[in-house]
Amino acid sequence: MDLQLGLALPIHHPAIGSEPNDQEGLHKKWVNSKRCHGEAFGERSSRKSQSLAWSGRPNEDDDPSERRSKLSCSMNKFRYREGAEGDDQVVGWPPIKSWRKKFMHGLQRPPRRDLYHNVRPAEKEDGKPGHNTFVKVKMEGVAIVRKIDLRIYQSYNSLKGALIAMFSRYNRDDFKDHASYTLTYQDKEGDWLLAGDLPWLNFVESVRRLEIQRSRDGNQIRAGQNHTMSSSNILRPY
Amino acid sequence: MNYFPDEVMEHVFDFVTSNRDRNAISLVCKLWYRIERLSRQRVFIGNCYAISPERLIARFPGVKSITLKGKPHFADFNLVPHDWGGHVYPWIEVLARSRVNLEELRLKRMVVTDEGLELISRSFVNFKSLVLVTCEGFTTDGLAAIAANCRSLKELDLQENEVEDHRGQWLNCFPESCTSLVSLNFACLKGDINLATLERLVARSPNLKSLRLSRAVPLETLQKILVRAPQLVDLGVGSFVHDPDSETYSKLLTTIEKCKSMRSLCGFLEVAAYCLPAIYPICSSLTSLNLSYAPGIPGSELTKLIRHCRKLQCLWILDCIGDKGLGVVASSCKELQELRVFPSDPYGVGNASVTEEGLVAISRGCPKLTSLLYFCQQMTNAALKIVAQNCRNFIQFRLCILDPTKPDSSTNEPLDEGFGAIVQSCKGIRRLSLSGLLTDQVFYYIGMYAEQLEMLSIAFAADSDKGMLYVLNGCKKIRKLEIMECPFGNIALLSDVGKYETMRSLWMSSCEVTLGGCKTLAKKMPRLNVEIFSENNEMENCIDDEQKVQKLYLYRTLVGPRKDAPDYVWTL
Repeated sequence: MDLQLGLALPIHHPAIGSEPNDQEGLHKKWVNSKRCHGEAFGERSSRKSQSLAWSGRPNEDDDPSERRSKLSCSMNKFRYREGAEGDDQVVGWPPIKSWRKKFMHGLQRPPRRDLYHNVRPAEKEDGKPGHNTFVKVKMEGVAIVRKIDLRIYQSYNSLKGALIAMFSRYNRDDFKDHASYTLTYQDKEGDWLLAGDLPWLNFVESVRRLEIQRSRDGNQIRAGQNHTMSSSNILRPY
Repeated sequence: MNYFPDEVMEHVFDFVTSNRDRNAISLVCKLWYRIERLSRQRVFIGNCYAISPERLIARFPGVKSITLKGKPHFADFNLVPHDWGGHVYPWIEVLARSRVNLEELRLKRMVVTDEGLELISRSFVNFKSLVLVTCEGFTTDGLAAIAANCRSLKELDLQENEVEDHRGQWLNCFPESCTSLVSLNFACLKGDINLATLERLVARSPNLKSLRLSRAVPLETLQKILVRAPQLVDLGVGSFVHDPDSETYSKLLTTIEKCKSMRSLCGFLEVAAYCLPAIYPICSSLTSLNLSYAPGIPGSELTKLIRHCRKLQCLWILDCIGDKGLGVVASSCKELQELRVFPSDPYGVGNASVTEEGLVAISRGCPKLTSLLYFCQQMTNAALKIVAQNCRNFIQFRLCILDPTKPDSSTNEPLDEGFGAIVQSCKGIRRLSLSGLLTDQVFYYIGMYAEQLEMLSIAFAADSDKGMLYVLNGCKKIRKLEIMECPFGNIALLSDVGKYETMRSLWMSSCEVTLGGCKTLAKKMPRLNVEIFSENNEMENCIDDEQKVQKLYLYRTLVGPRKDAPDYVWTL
C-alpha cells in the first residue's frame, strides 16, 4: 500500500543519520508506523480528507469518531516543523526530553563495527564536517610528507610499526625498534602532544597531523620540540 | 492558644521539614505564621513568575535554600519557543542585594547565564549547593566561577543542561584548598576534560559520595578515580570501552570489587557491551541503575546484567531490553519501585521495542511499583486491567504509546477502560500521562476516581469539551494540567474560572479555545497571567476574537504580568 502523504514535508529519518540510500525505505517505514486511525481501519474517506488543506481544527459539528480520525490523520501531516536537528517531526510528540533526543541522535551514526577492533568511520558530529581520518605524517629528516588513513590501524603499536616500515626506505638505519622512535601529533586545538596517552579512539578523533622522530642517544623527545608548544603538554612518552 | 515560648515552637517546627506541612502550619494562626516564616530555611517555588524575589525575602528572611522552576513542562518537548523566559538572574540579583545567606539553589527549566553564576559565586559566602536541571544559557566559564569562588562548595549537579563548552579548564578552577565536595555531576558536558585535574580533585575530596562523569572521561581515568574514591555511593560512568585483555581492564576489575558502598550506577555514555561484566561484582548491592543513555547494548547483555541486580529499586532502561527482558526484570528485581523504559528508536517501526506484554510481566513480578514511565509500541485494555489489579500503589503512571492515537491492539477499541481501571485501583495516583485512542469516557473515570491527582498530561484525546470538564470538576487536587491537540474549547475553559487559582498552571496547545475565550478568562481572573503565544505574529495583525489560539499558558500569580515576556507572548 502506497502511503505517500502528499502534504508532508520530506521526512528525514533522525535515527540513522544522513544515509541517502536508506531514505526512501525509512520514509516508508516511518510512514507505515504513522498510519492514521482511519487508514489503519480502512476508512477511505479519511484518506481523502488529508488532501484538503484544512486549517487544522476539527469542525465542532463533526461527528466525534470522524473528528477523531481527522485528528489522528492530522497528527501525521500537519504541525511539522524543523526540529533542532533539521528533522521534520510532529512537534511535541513523542514526549521525549529534547536533551535526550539530541543525545541519542548524536549517537545514531552509520553502523559501526565493534568498538575495540575497528576505528569508527568518518562521521558527523553536531553538524560539523565529518572528521577526516587521513592525516599527514612527517618523518624527521625526510622531505616527503606522507598521508595515511588512520582507519586501518587499531592501536598505537600498529600505527607506529607501519610508519616505521613506511619510512625505513628513506633511511639507511635498520632500526625497527619501536623504542627508538617517538610519535607525536598535533591535535585539533593545534597543540603538539606525545602520542599514547589517549585511548586509541579518542586519539583518532583528535589527531590532525603526525610526526615520527628518532630518539637521539637514548634521550626522550619532548612533544613539539620542533614546533611552538603550549606549556601544559609535557606528557609521559609513549 | 499558645502555651509555649516562641523558641520552643520554633524548635518543634524544626522537625517539620516538608514544605506542604510548613505551609499548613503557617495557616493556623498569626503567631504560628510569624514563627514559621522566620524559621523557614527551604522554599520551593514551582513557578518563578508566581511570586517575586522581593516578596519571598520579605516573608522568609532566613531562607537558605531555594528551588525555582521556570518554563512549562511542555518546553521539554520543544513546544515552547525560544526566549520565552524563566530567567534566574533577576532573582540572584535581588537575593545578593538583600544579603540573603543563600546556601543552596536548585533550578529547573530556567535560563541561567554566566553572569548569574558569577554573581552567585561572589555574593554568597556560604554557598554550598548548585543543582541545575534542564537549564540553558550558560557556559563552562560560569562553572569556572563557581568552582573558583565558592569556598565551601559541596554539590555541583548538572543534569541534562545545554551548556556551551568553551573547553576551558573549569575543573582547574577548583582551588587546591577545596576539599569539601560531596557531589559532582558534569555528565551533560560535551567538551574535553583535563583528566589529571579531575583525578587530583577526586583525590582531595574525601567526602565525595556522588560522581557523574561525562563521555570525555575514559575508562583508564575511571579506574584511577575509583582507586582514590572507593567510598562512592553513586557513580555515573563516562566512557566504558577498552580492550578486555589490557592491563587497565584487569586493574578495573580489582578496583571495582573494592567499591563496596556503590548503590547507584548510571551513564555509560559510551560503552562496549563486552565490558559490562566488569561491574557484575557490585550489581548485587545496587538499588538504582540507569542505562537509558547507554547506546547499543543488546537486550541479552542487559538481561545478563540485571539478573545480578536483585536489590534494584529504580531502573531506567532502553526498550531494546524487550518484553522478554522485562520478564527477567520482573523475576529478578522484586524490590522495584520505579521503572522507566525509553524508546531507543522513537520514529522507527519497533523492532527494538516493548509492548503490553512487558508491562504485564513487570506488574506480576514487582508489586511494589509506584512510579512508571513506559514508552511502548502498543497497549491493550486487558493488559492495563491486569496491571491495575497487580499494582495498586502507583503514584506516577505515564504511558506513552508511540503512535499516540493507537487503539487497543487486540480489540481496536479505545483505551478508556484500561486507564479507568488504573485510576480506580490506584487510589493514591498523583501523576498521570495518557496516550492511545481515548474518548471522553476516560476523563469521566479520571474525574470520578482520581481523587489525589495533581498532574495530568493529555494529547490527541477526547471527543468534546466534556472531557476537560470531567477533570476540572472531579479532580479536586489537580495542580498542573497540560493538554495538546484535543478538541477542548471555550466552554470547557470558562466553565469554572475560579478553579485556575487553585492550580499552578494550565497549558493548552492546538486545542479549540479562541482568543475571545482567553480574553474573557483574563478579564474575570486578574490574578492569573493568561499568556498566548503566536508563532508568526498573527496575533498582532489579527484581532479577531474567533481566531483559535495556538498556545495558551496560564498560571496564578501574585505579581501580575511579567515584564520580561518576549514579543510573541501576549499577556491578556
